[in-house]
Parts: sequence; structure tokens; C-alpha cells
Amino acid sequence: MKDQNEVEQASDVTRRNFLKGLMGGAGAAAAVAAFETLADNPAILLAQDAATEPASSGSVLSSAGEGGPVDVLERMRLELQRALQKSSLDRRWVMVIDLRKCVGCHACTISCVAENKLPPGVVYRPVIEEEWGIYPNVGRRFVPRPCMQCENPPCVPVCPVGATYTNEEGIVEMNYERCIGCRYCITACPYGARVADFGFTYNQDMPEADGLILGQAGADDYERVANFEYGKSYEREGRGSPVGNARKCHFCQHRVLEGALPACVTTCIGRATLFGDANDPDSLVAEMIARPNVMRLREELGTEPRVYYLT
Amino acid sequence: MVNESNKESQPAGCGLSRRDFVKFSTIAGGTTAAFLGGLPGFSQLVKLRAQSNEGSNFDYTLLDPTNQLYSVCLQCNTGCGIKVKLLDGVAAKIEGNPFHPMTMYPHIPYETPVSELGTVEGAICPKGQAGIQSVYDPYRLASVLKRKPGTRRGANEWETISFEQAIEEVVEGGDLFGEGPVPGLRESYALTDKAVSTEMIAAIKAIQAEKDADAKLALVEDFKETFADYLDAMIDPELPDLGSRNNQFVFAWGRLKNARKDFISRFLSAYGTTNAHGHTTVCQGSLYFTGKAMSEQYIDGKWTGGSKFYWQGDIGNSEFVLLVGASPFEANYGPPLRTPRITTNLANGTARIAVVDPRFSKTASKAWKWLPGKPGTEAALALAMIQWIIDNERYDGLYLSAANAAAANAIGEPTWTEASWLVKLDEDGVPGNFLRASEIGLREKEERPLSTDPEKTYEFDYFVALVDGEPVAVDPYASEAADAVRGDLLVDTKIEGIPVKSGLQIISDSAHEYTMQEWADLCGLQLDDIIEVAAEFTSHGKRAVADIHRGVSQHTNGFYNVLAWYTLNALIGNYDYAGGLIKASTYKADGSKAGQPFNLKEGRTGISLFGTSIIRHGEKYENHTLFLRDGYPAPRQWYYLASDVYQEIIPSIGDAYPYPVKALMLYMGSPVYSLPAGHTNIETLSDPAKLPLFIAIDPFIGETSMYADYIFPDTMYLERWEFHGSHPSVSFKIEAVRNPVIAPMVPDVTVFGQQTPLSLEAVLMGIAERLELGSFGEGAFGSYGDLVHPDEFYLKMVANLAFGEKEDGSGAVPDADEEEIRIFLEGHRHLPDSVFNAERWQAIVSDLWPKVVYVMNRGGRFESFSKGYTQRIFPEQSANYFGVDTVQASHPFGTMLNLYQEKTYGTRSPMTGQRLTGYARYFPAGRSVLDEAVDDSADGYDLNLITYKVISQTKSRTASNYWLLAVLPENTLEMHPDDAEVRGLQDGDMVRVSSASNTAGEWDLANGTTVPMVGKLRTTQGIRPGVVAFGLGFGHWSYGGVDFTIDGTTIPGDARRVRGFHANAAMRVDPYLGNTTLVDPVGGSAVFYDTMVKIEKA
Amino acid sequence: MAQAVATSDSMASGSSRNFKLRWTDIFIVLGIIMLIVGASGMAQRLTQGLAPTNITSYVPWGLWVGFYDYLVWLEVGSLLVFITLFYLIGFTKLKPIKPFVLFTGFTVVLMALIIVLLDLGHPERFWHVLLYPDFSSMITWMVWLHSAYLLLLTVELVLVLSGTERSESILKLLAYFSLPMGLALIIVSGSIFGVIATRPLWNTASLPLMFLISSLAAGSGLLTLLVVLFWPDKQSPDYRQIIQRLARLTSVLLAGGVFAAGVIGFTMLYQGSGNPIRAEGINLILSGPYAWSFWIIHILLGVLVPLIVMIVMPRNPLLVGIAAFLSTVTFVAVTLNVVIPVLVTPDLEGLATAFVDSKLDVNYVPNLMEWLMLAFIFGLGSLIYGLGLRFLPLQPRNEEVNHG
Ligand SMILES: Nc1nc2c(c(=O)[nH]1)N[C@H]1C(S)=C(S)[C@@H](COP(=O)(O)OP(=O)(O)OC[C@H]3O[C@@H](n4cnc5c(=O)[nH]c(N)nc54)[C@H](O)[C@@H]3O)O[C@H]1N2
Ligand SMILES: Nc1nc2c(c(=O)[nH]1)N[C@H]1C(S)=C(S)[C@@H](COP(=O)(O)OP(=O)(O)OC[C@H]3O[C@@H](n4cnc5c(=O)[nH]c(N)nc54)[C@H](O)[C@@H]3O)O[C@H]1N2
Ligand code: SF4
Ligand code: SF4
Ligand code: SF4
Ligand code: SF4
Ligand code: SF4
Ligand SMILES: [Mo]
Repeated sequence: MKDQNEVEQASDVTRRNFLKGLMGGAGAAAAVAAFETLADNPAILLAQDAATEPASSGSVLSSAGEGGPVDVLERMRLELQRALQKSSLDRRWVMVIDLRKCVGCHACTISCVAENKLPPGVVYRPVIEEEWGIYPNVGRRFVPRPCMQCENPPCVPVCPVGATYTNEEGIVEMNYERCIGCRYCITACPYGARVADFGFTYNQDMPEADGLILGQAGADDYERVANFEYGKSYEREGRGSPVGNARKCHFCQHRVLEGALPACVTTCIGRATLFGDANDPDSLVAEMIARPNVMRLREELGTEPRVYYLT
Repeated sequence: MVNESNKESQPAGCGLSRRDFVKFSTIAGGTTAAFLGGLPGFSQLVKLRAQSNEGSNFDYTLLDPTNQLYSVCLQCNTGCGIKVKLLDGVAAKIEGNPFHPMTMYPHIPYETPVSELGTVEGAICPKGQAGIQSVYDPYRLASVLKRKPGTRRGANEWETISFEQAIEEVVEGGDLFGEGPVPGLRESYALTDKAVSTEMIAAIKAIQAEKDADAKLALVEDFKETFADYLDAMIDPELPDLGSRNNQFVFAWGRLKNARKDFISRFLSAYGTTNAHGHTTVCQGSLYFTGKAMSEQYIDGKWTGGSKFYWQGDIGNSEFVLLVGASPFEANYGPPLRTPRITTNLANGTARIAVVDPRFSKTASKAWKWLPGKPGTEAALALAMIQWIIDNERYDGLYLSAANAAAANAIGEPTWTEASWLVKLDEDGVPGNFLRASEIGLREKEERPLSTDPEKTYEFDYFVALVDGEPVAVDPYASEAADAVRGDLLVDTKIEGIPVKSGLQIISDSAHEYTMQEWADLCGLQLDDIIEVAAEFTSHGKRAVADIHRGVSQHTNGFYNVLAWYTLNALIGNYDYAGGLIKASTYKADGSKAGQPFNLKEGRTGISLFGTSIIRHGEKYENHTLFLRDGYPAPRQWYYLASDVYQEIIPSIGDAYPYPVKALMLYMGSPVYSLPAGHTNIETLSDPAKLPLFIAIDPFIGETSMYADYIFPDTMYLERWEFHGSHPSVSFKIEAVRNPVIAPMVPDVTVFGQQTPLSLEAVLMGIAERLELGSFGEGAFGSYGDLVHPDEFYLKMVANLAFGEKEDGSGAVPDADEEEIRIFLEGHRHLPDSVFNAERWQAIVSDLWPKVVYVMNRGGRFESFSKGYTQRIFPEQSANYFGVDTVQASHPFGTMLNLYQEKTYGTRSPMTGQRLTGYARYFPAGRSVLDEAVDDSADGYDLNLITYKVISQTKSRTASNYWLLAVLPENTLEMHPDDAEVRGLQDGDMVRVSSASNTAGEWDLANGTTVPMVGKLRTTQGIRPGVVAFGLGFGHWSYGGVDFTIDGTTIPGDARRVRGFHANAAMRVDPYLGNTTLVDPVGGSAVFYDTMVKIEKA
Repeated sequence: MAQAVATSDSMASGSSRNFKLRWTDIFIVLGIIMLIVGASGMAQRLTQGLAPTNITSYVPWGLWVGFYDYLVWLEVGSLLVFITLFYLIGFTKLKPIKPFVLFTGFTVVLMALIIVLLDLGHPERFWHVLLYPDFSSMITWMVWLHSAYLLLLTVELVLVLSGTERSESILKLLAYFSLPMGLALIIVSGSIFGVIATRPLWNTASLPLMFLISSLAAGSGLLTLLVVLFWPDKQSPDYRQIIQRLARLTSVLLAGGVFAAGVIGFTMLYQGSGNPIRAEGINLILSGPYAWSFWIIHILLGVLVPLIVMIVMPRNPLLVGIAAFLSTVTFVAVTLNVVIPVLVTPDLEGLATAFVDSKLDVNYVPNLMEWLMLAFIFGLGSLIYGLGLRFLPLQPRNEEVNHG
């Protein structure tokens, strides 16, 4: 993990420069023009409102900085970088999934798989599809299911070796080297959010025919390159970790702490998945979890998920 | 990359970490805790622990801008901007390019320095995410393949062959397969004299213009005399309008975008063939060609200049979106672009959507209303709404009344229509040509200079509209305020004895052909629903839109379906408006704009292209010499109003109509798999007698390339150049640059003495080199010097793009600063010399280099968000509720759109000789080219088959994406439970799909194998009873899914890639054509949704 | 232990005499056969980890965990019953069987440990549980208790085999120790499941109780079987008396087990009516694809038949032996029924179709490889058992028998 100061500085610079890019130098004219056009142009404002979740004031400008309306992705990224300047104990990462906006595209699922180089049988964020009703009154819903990062995670106390635990960021993470692969935590998770890595690769049975086709050796590089979970590298070789371990979503700690949104959030085409620091009252997520239509999965279990759903 | 020591985890014990401390302090109470643990609820004990110390830090280098290259996705045709993250030269992760309006909304300002974008990422769909697996596909070909001599086409036995040898064989021909002589490309490279070709064109024009048969034949004789020396270069001297033998080389493509298109066109014009055909009609053909018919302009006294394009909704600004046969959450152009615009408005309560689709799509799941209309009745629904809107006067009368540019200008409208123009009725009372002012003595014809040649003139005859009942002459393009004409809208009268109706009246009559209830019954919908939707549609001013796609266009009545919906949109005048219909706008990069540094036409060689295309497009059958020979009905359909008629290419070759073809080169298309009734193409492709030489440029042995004589592998999308352009629902002007971001996984070959990756470009340049075609080679780029490497072509295009479209250069992008150049150079460090060489690249564009870097660092050129719309204030703004909204697209269509089409009316069916209808009208779907009903339901084919795209697949390019296959490993046949019950079928049963033109329900691969169209049944309430649907992208039988042999080595196929089924072969063959799917004879569409099938337990 | 073996009489005498086959050598033969048969399963386990099993992420525990529990029940149960009868109730006539009980227990515990070790994704990190234990986890307790238990058994066994007077008192002390330890082990093995709040079928306070009763029933069955098999003097009246008593005890425990299971099942069904997952789990047990194992193996062969035999003919050693064997062997169905059907009830409906992979399946049926590896371990146990029976001085010395 990066030195806290370094992170702060880096994100500070990024932030300032980004805003400068938006406002200053060559971009200034365009940005200001945009801003002005927006102010007195109802249709464009509609476009802007549409792009961004309206802040309580009805304008997103206050929370997004002075740069003018931005995609919620940008707003969240800036908020994230703001949160990184606080001590880890002062922030509370939460994810908000707006089921009204989720279109069941599974981009988040695949982005997560690609980001974390998940092997066959390992998935951190499947999207569950439901259909109901009688023709022509039919309904359909899509429910993405990352790890809930429970504040009372049933998966943690069952681990015999402390290989899974809540880290300083409040994220339930894995210590791959410690884990003995007993899979107790898997049975304990009420959300099916943990899976075992059985050691497969997608290209494992592919043919090899040098000079004729690309073949396995030419094709499987991307699967073998390191993944980056927990800021460590794990090249997929032999039976070493994470093969044999339990695995789970970690709210992309390796990205978040470097100032980037989780991979599933950043690629959400429905802008249904939101992420941020709930302790920041100006953050989008803080605003969203105060909505009346908010709920959490299997609330009755008392797990206190950090993943909220809007319905 | 990975530091050795990083891989090892440090011994866990080294030093008691804070975490261990915390843990040990909990052990104290361990025993009690353990027994407490036996009780439920213990798990709620919270434990906060410090982060693990084990393992070593790993620098997450993917967020470093020097490990990020910007390019364009090509997993589907949308072409979202992407940012490829590299780890040691391997594409490790793909994200959206935040500069590109398809992945961020609003997209970030173009001026933002890339150094600050390490953590900024746009959103892309699952296919985009999985693109890595398309490129790193173990089944990618690593060498040029030749069909093993002695084996038949499709036998899947191959030999490797050197690139040079392959080029030689393809060009020179000979006894290549032990089956006798094969004509090479040299043989068809017959006519090379440009001057002669130009003269021939003039002569042929005269022949075709001659109506009298005898005179025509005499002109043909003249032709033979004049060009006696060149007759052996002609396909058939008796039929000179077929053109020269160069046309016997056909180049066809599936997926093709700018830059590569320019490259191919440079090659083909050097070669001199007119046969260059794309796949438009398999895609959304009639959308394009209705768009073309609607955009024809009255220039120099005739209707011409229509562009092949279509409109889509600016749905981010719409308050109501009616999606008809379009599914932007699953397919369309495209999910990353359109989805957030809809979902955000829905969640905010600022918009509503309704969906017309027989299938309850993912898009429909968010709809206020789902209208599961009967397939093929799309125009009926539109006309029902039109009827209600006209009867209730809910249309934008002000807009519609504007009869010309001046009137439109006055009310701030960018477009205008012929709604008020008067149309003459012919003897049968059918609307015909527009009334001209001279016909009623209203105004004399005028001599006006030709737009093409101001020295010459033509006679301009004014059109006519009634203003308050009085005829007024209309000049469509007159822009002086004084010339403004606002015509009466509903006119049905006689002027000077000539029965006339106004455009809107004709539309109204068409909409009143049935009563509202009858329309509802035709569509199989509730009348209430239709009225509610019509009311909603007309309750948001211009911020409502009916957005249509394949479900509307791919019917036998596709052209008229599309026209009906576009007409409906015109009733609220939403063209060019924020929230209404808009069109795409791309930066020109081909150097055709004044001042641009590199005109790609430089140094082009070759004849003036001429002759009838193998698909017979753009020509009137009755003018052709073939008409004298064959009369009505023509042996095959002709397409005056359409082009790129994909389904016609191979069957026409098979029928040798209008002439035999010697060689077909297929690039990045798979007609056998993708076409309805694509199996009929196998007949031709597998038969060397019908098609002597078949060359495929394809990285895979695909469902079509498996029949090729030669397969040249290609660079894939992360390895090559291509400018992907934009899409109609993007209001910003953009051009996205696909460029090599990883080292190609094909070998290098030598052309013109240069190392180039084995690719489309290498093949074309190799052929050009051997044939000495010109256009390519040393000094072949005219004043720009050499064209011996594809870089020299593509980088010049980037330079044009960077320069912009202003002659004085004021439209240029800024120079990349030092930091940006450093990022660029470092970012490209992993690319081999044959792809990237900084000095070579810089030399190609010389002083524009910093600008080129600027563009490439951003993956293209993208207009800033604020520029996509303009606020226009007009004094004469209307008081009616349609007029208050004046926010318009900055790149408007901006001219007349044809609600009534004289040119369409002027076209005859080559089968029946009947005139076409020039306005929105309901015709039943499911008819043959002879205009006869094709209804197989009497024979027990009683379910209407439709198809759709699943979000996780495309046609032939994602079967290798194992990540995506985990999301959906196979498709199913969706059927309503009631339909299943009467057939004794149950969810999960394996069922066979068959039809009257494929009673066996299988693909016959003509190599001894058949592939059954058998899939798993999924019963669902989410489909209209009587309709069955299947998703696209499954049921492959090649593309790495089956065993094949190269050089005697049998390479086993991967069963994961062939799961599910593909029912295109069940789609109905046109009974007259015999070897081609049903078609829309006007718009050219291949028909996917008008087949009746039988579903039985397999 | 090595010393004990070396100094034992039988060892010395055995090696001096010609090798003579005994019926107990059948364990050796069986062991070798099973080792051979199971070798490929073991080889696959060692080279490919858990990949070749039918275990999935949604049914993460299968055959092996079921067998582990079964073996623990058997062993702990038999020892608990024995200690209770022998030390607490003072039924000292059982003494001759004591070495067998201990040795059987030792073998079974060892097998169980190997099985559970090989069920781990990283068996080589087994020591993590000892070095970095987290005592909030039932598995930690289980491993610690199990290891301690094995240690205890080993010591007891050595002491028994060394057979001195002083050891007898230590043995008694150890026995008193092993009593709560065994109880704890059973309760912990029940709690492993019981604490999983998310699995309503497991998450009942009564599960450990059920485990205990079941374990005692299975254990007394095993004890009965051991008496039938290894009682030195089958003609003695003690033998029949012991058989009769054990049969009665077993039948009471079996009936108690059925009653307990019934009550638990009933209450769960009752509660389950408000909890679809729980109700579904119970339905799965009672009428799902595994129902046959419940009804036929567990209820009919494991409970009803032995119960009837032991009640009707408690004095017929052969029949009682068979009945005891049946109830002992079939108890594995109970553990399998506890472990598997609960897991195949998915946490969230639709998960298995959201991302499809053979390792993300909610259906689980053990495959051949799993059985083979199990066979290998049973072969190993059988071989050790047979060798022990042959070479360890398990048969009581004559004077002790007489004393008894
Ligand atoms: N049932 C059904 N059928 C459909 C549709 C549907 O909805 N349902 N949709 C239709 C539509 S909209 C379309 S546009 C058509 C598309 O139909 P096509 O344009 O014919 O198909 P593509 O999948 O685009 O092209 C496939 C070929 O390109 C090859 N290829 C892949 N990558 C590359 C490359 O980088 N270079 C080269 N040279 N070749 C490459 C593949 O191996 C394959 O042979 O399909 C249509 N077919
Ligand atoms: N996932 C994915 N996305 C893609 C592509 C892809 O291959 N895969 N390809 C791209 C390409 S090339 C294209 S052309 C676009 C196509 O984009 P779309 O046209 O939006 O997609 P389709 O699925 O072909 O058809 C749209 C809808 O029409 C419905 N439909 C079928 N029959 C009928 C009918 O008779 N009437 C009506 N009203 N509706 C009907 C289908 O159920 C489907 O939901 O998608 C692009 N995006
Ligand atoms: S699988 Fe690993 S993380 Fe899970 S409980 Fe077992 S040791 Fe702990
Ligand atoms: S969702 Fe499951 S894995 Fe995630 S913290 Fe909660 S219990 Fe643990
Ligand atoms: S937060 Fe990261 S790890 Fe978790 S589901 Fe999203 S992408 Fe996967
Ligand atoms: S990416 Fe977003 S819209 Fe797509 S499935 Fe995931 S949460 Fe839903
Ligand atoms: S829609 Fe998806 S597959 Fe298509 S171009 Fe965009 S990201 Fe790529
Ligand atoms: Mo398409």
C-alpha cells in the first residue's frame, strides 16, 4: 500500500490538474462556454441533470467541484480522491446499487473477472436475473451481487486461521497465504459471495500447434499475468495461492486506494452502481442511502451490509 | 514487471504485526468465545483488524498513463472508445475511453491532459470488457492457409503456404488444386485504360437512356464498333452495360469502417472493379435506404444526392422514447452510449420509455408500456398513431406547413417537408408525381445553372402548395424571407382539372385505410394502449422520439415500416432537436476538405469504375439491355434504391446473374452464418464451377471462410488501424481512431520491401505489387511520396484529422506538449518495428507530428460536450406548444426531408413492373419478390420466428470469449408456455426448428456434415404467444469449435464454442429467388422476422 | 508407541513363529485392495487438488466432510459410551475390550484427520491452525480438540498396551479427561454447522444435541460390534450379558436419536414454514434427490432394522452384531444428509445461472474420484488396523480376563 502522504499528494495533484483541465488553459473557454450554455439552456440542463444524480440543491456543481456537470463516474472519482485524503478510519466505503437503473448487462461481472483475472468458476459479482408475471404483464429485474462487505461479516469469525478479516478500510479481505482452503467461510456467507479457486484456467485444454494457430501458449498470457488483488501480485502458476483459496470481492482495494473507482463501478453502463465514502455528507452515496427506497439484502441476519440497493 | 521477490510472500511470522497483536488479545477470551460461538448471533461480533502484512507490495502500474493506450472497440459494430491497459505489452484490461462520448456522459473535455487521466475510465459493455479474449484466441491462424489440393471446399483440410507463394497463386492462377485451371486475379484485370473507360461510360449512358428497343440495340452495335479493340475486355459485348471483365473480381465485406474502407477503395479502384459490396442489408438495410430516400434532394431538376444514413433518437434529452424493434440495453448503437441516458432519466423521473417488441427484452423491463405487437405490423402501429394524431390535431402544424427553406428558417426549423406540397393523383387515383407550377400555369419554368457545371443550365419547374386555398409556387430551397411558403396541410381537391392531394393528406388517407380498432387488431395490440402511447408521444413537444431499429427494418415491408415511423416523428417535427431525431457527424479524415494536408486520392490509378454490379444496385432494370433480353419478371431482384445488398452477392454469383464471377474476396464477414437462410450460400461457395476462386481475409476458419481456397489471416482490432466514426444518436462531431496497441499476433511479411504484419493491407499491397496496379508502391502516393507501408496511409489520415476541417488550419488540435509526447513514446515502447517506429512515423507526418500524437493520445478527435447542441432564438417562435423548444443538434440534417417521395414512386418493381408507393403505407409482411404472400402456416409451420441479440454476444466474433460464455453459455428458444403446452413441450426440452424451406431443420454443410437446428426450449411469459425467438451468437460449427487439419496435424476444436443453436437456416427462402432469403425489395433488407416455423421435440 | 510395539510380547513371539493367517488379517488384505483401488483418486487429489472433485463453490463441502463427521461421531461416540459404562457406571466387565476400543478409536481418528486434511485447499498449511489459531472459529476448536484427542488416545493406547498398574490410574484420569473433550468435540463438530446463521437447517441450537445423541447411538453400535468381533471368550456368560446390555443401550440411543431427530425435524419444519430456505432444505432431505439415502439407508437400515433386531433378539450375538454393524455403517447417511442437502439449497435464487461453471453448480453428487480417494484412506486405515490387530498386544492377558 502506498504511503498515506503520497496518496494524498498524488490525488491532490490529480484533482487540481483535472479541474485545471476542465477550467483552465486551453480548456477554459470551452468549459466556461459549456457552463454558460447550460445555465440558460433548459434542454442542455436536462441533459446534465440526466447525466448526474441531482444533489440536494438540485445542482451537481457544488459537489462535483467547479468544473461543471460531469458524469456520475467523474463525480464519484473526485469524491473518492477526496475521501482518500482522510484517515482510513474516518471514511466508510459503501456501494449503492440502483436496481431501477441496472439493465442486467453483466459488464460489471466481466469487468471484475478481467480486472482480477478470475479463473473459471470464480466470480465476485454475478448479476442475478429474475422474471415474473403473466403475459403481457411481465416484470424482469437484475440484481448484481458483489460482496456486501458486512459490518458483521459471518464469514470472518468462522475462519480458523484469521485468513479473512475486516481491514482498516472496513473491507473484508483475504490473506491468501494464510488461508488453508477449508471453505468454512464459503458456507457461512449468507450471500454466496465467496467462492473457491479450484485452479482452472480458461485456456488450459487448448491445443498447441506452433506456426499453424496461436495456440494455448500464445493465447493465455492475459490469464497468467499477475492479478493485483490486495496490492500483491499472484501469477497463476502451479498450485500456489490463490489456487486452493477462498476468494471474494474486495471492493477493488488495489484500485480504490490508488484513486480509481472499483472496476465494476467504472464500467456500469446503467450507472446503477455507485461507490464512495458514506461518511462524506456531500458524497453521492451518502445522499443515496438516505433515500426512502433503500434496502439491503437479508437485513434480518444482522450482517449490516455496506452494499445498499435502491428499488 | 513483477519483481521476483514480490511473488514470494514474506514469512508470516516476521515481527508481530498490529494485526497479530489484535488477534492475540482476543484469544484471552477464546474459550468462552468459542462456546458462545455455538450460539447463533455470535457471528455478529465485529472485528476490526489491521491490513495483512504478508506478501509484498505490487505497484499497480495499470493506472499509469504510460501503460494506457486509447483506441476503439470492435467487439460489436458500435465502436466505443476504449483505453487498453498494458502489462509488459500484454493487454491486461480494457476500459472505456472517457474522451469518447459513448462511454462517458458528458464525456471529458478534449483538452484534458492525458497525464491526468490515469484513473479516469468510461463505461463499456461486457463484450468490450472481454475483447482480450477475442484477440488472444488460441484458434487464431498464424499462417496463410490454402485448401489442401484434392480435398473439396469445406472439407477443412488445409496446407500452410508462404505469403509470397499465396499472392503469386492468387494473382496468376493455374491448376492450383488439381481440379483444372483456376483464373487468377490477373485474368480479370482486363481494362486498364482510364480514357477508354470514361468514353465507354458515356456510350453506355446513352444506351440506357434510349427507351426504344431497336434504337437501343443499334446503340449497342455502335458501341461494339467504337470499342472494337477493347471488346475482349468486356464481360459481354452484347450487353456492354455490364461493364468490363474487371467486374468479375468481387470484393465483399462484413464489418468495415473508415480508413480501412479508404484503403480498400484505393485498391479496388486501381484494379477497376465496381463490385465492392458491404453487408448493410443484413444489418439494418432498410433503415439506411429509407434514410437515403428521405434525404434525396431536388438538385438540377432531379431527385438525387440522398445519403445512406439514418436517424436515431437523442434519447438523453427525450422525455418520452418509444423504442420500436430496438433494444439499446442489449444491442443497438450501443449499450454503453444509450443506456445511461435512459436509465438516469428514468430513475430521476424525467423520462418514460415504451417498447414495441414481440419479446420482453431487457429494455422492455424498464418500460412504462410493453407493446408486444405482431411481427411485421410495425407500420400499422405507426399509422394507427398517425391517424389518432391527425384526427386529434396533435401534430406540429406549424412545422409541417413550412414548404421550403425560407418558411422553415422563419420559424427556426432546421428541416422542412413536403407535407403541404400538392401531389397529382394518377388515373387510378393513386398519388403520383408532384404538381408543378407550370402545369397549372402558375409560374413558368426557369433556366437555372447546373450545380455541377454552372456553364450549363436546366429547366427548373416550381412545386405547388395551397396557401389559404390559393395555389402558390414553391421553390424548396429559396431562403429569402419573402419566398417563404406555409402551405395548407390537408388538401384534397382539383386544380385545373387535375386531382391533387397534399402530402399530409396522402399520409392521412393512408393512416385511415383502417379504423383504429382494425389497426389495433392487425397489430395484435389493445386500442387503449395505442391511444395512450400516441397521447404520450404528443405530450412532450419535440422532446419525444420514436427510435427504431432492426425489428422495424428487417421485414419484407421494411422500407415502408421505417418510412411510417419516420413520418410519425415528422408529425411532431423532432428532427434535429435535442430529444428528437438526430444524425451522426464525423470529422473528415480523407483529406477531401480544403486545406487538409493529405488528400488520400493522391496518386490513385485505375479506370473510371463502371458497369452493372453483381447485386444490380443503383440501376433501373427497365433501362438495362438485360431488360430487352429477359423482360418481367427479372431473373433476380434489382435494387434501384439500395446498395450493399449482402444477401444478393453470393447467390447472384451462383446464378451467374447478371454475369459469372471469377473470384470473390471476402473480408471480415460471414454471410453463411449471419444471413437469414445463409445456408443457401454454401451451395455456391462450395462449388468451384460456380465460383472459381474464393479468398477470405479472416483471422479464423469461420463458418464462411471454411469454404475458402485461401485464408489470409488478419490483424485484429487491438493490432490495427481503422477510423470507427460515430453513430446516429451521437450529437457530437467525432472520429475515433483505432490503432495498434499490442504487438500483432500474426507474422510479419514483406511487401514493397517493407516488413508489415500479415493483414488485409499486406494482402492488398502484395497483390498490387505483383499486378503492378499502381496506387501503391514507391512514389505511388503522388506528391506525398511512397506508399509502401500501411502507416504511410493511416498516419496521414490522423494528420488530416488533427488538422481539422478549416482551410486556414484554425480547426487544428493543439500540439502535444513534451509530457504528452513522452507518454506517447513510452506507451508504445512494446510495439515492434513493423508496427511502430517513432522516426518513421514522425517522418510520415513531418511537422504535424505533435498534433498527431495529441489525437492518438486521445484515441481520436471528439468535439466537446457543449458543442453538441445549439440554442437558437427566433423572433417568429410559434405560440403553439410544439414551438417553444429551440435546442437543436449542432450538426443538423438541416434540409428537406421527403415524406412524399417522387423518386420512389418513379421506381418500378423489376418483377411486376408496378410502380412503388412513395409514402408511408401499411403492406403486409412476408411476401416474395413477386409480391405474393408467403404463408406456410397451412402446412403446420405455425409459429413466427424472430431473433435478437443478447448483450453478451455478437455474430461470429465472441464465441471465443469464455468470460462471456459463463454469463450465457448457450441460447434458448423462447416460447410462450401456452404454445408449449399445446405442443406437449416443456421448459428445457430439446426442440428442432424447421420451416417450409428447410424441412429437415438443419444446416447442410456440403462436406458430409449436417448441423441440426436443435436447441433448448425456454418457456417464458415474456414473449407474444405465436412467436418464438432465439438469441444470436451461438450454435457455431466452425470458428475453432470443430476439428480441422493443417499440414496433416489435426487440431481439435473446443466444444465450448459451439453450444446452443443458430436458426438462420430456418428463415424462409424466397420462393422465386430460390437461393436467397426473403427480402425487402425496396429497402434491400434481408428478412429475419417473417418466417413461420415448426417447433418439435428433437 | 514405537517402543510399546517393540517391547510387546506378541510382537516378539509373532516374529519367532511361522506366519499364520488370522481372520483379522482380512483388514490387511482389504486395506491393500482398497489402497490399490483408491490410488488413482489419491493421485488425482495430490496432483490436481480439489479440481477433479464434484465439490463446487456453492456446495463447498461434500462426501469427505460428511465422512469426516461420521468417523468422528463413531469414534467419539464409542469412547464416550465405553468410558461412561466402564468408569462412571463401573461396568468393569468391559475391560477386555478396552484396548480394542482405544485402538479402533485411534485408527478412526487418524483416518478422519487425513480425510479432513485432504479436504483442504491447502493441506500443506494445516499448521496454520495451530500457529495462527482463531478461536472464534469452530474449525479451530475442532482441529485443536481433534489433535488433542488423537494425542490422548495415543497416550491411552500406549498405556493400555504397556499394561502396568500405575498406568491404570493414569488411564482413569485420562479417561475422565477424554470424556469432556469428546463431548466438546462432538458439540464443536455440531456447532461448525450450527453457527452458520445463513443455513437455517443448520442454524439451530439443537443441532449439536442431535449430533451428540446420534454420535452416542452410532458409538454404542460400534462398541457392540467390537465386543462381538473381539471378545476373547465367546463362551463366557459375560459375553452374552454384555451383548444384551449393549444391545439394549444401543436401541435406547437409536430410539432416542430418532426421537430427537424427529423433534428437531418437526420444530424445524414448523419454524421452516416461515422460512422457505429451511423448508426447502427439509423437503430436500425428505423427498429430494437424496431422500433415498435418508429413508432407506438411514431410517430403514440404520435405525429400524437394528432397533427391531436389538429389541427382539438382544441375546443373539450374531444378529446383534449384524444389527450393530448396520447401524454403525449406515450412520454415514446421517452426516451426509446434514452436510450436503443444506448446501445445495442456494443462498440466493438464480445464482447458479448468473455465472455458469461446473464449479458454480448447486447440485452435488460425489463422483468416482471422491469415492476412490476415500477408499484409499479407508484402505490405509484398514491396513493400519489389520497390522495393529496382528502385531499389537491388544488381546488381554489371561489373568486379567480371569480377574474380571
Ligand atoms: N440470427 C441472427 N442473425 C443475425 C443478426 C441477428 O440479430 N440474428 N444480426 C445481423 C446483423 S445486425 C449483422 S450486422 C450481421 C453481421 O454479419 P457479418 O458482417 O457477416 O458478420 P461478422 O460477425 O461481423 O463477421 C464475421 C467474420 O469476420 C471474421 N473476423 C473477426 N475478426 C476479424 C478481423 O479482425 N479481421 C478480419 N478480416 N476478419 C475478422 C470472423 O472470423 C468471421 O468470419 O449479422 C446478422 N445476423
Ligand atoms: N450485444 C450486441 N450488440 C450489438 C450487436 C451484437 O452483435 N451484439 N451488433 C450491433 C449491430 S451490427 C446492430 S445492427 C445493432 C442492432 O441493434 P438492434 O436492432 O437494437 O438489435 P436486434 O436485437 O437485432 O433487434 C432489436 C429488437 O427487435 C426485436 N424484434 C424482433 N422481431 C421483431 C418484430 O418483428 N417487430 C418488432 N417490433 N421487434 C422485433 C428483437 O426482439 C430485439 O429486441 O446492434 C449492435 N449492437
Ligand atoms: S477457506 Fe480460507 S478464508 Fe475461508 S475459512 Fe477457510 S481458511 Fe479461512
Ligand atoms: S457478503 Fe459474505 S463474504 Fe462478504 S462480508 Fe458478508 S459474509 Fe463475508
Ligand atoms: S468491487 Fe472490485 S472486486 Fe468487488 S465486484 Fe466490483 S470489481 Fe469485483
Ligand atoms: S454493469 Fe451496471 S447495469 Fe450492467 S449489470 Fe452491472 S450493475 Fe447492472
Ligand atoms: S457496445 Fe460493447 S462491444 Fe460494442 S463497441 Fe461498445 S463496448 Fe464494444
Ligand atoms: Mo448489424
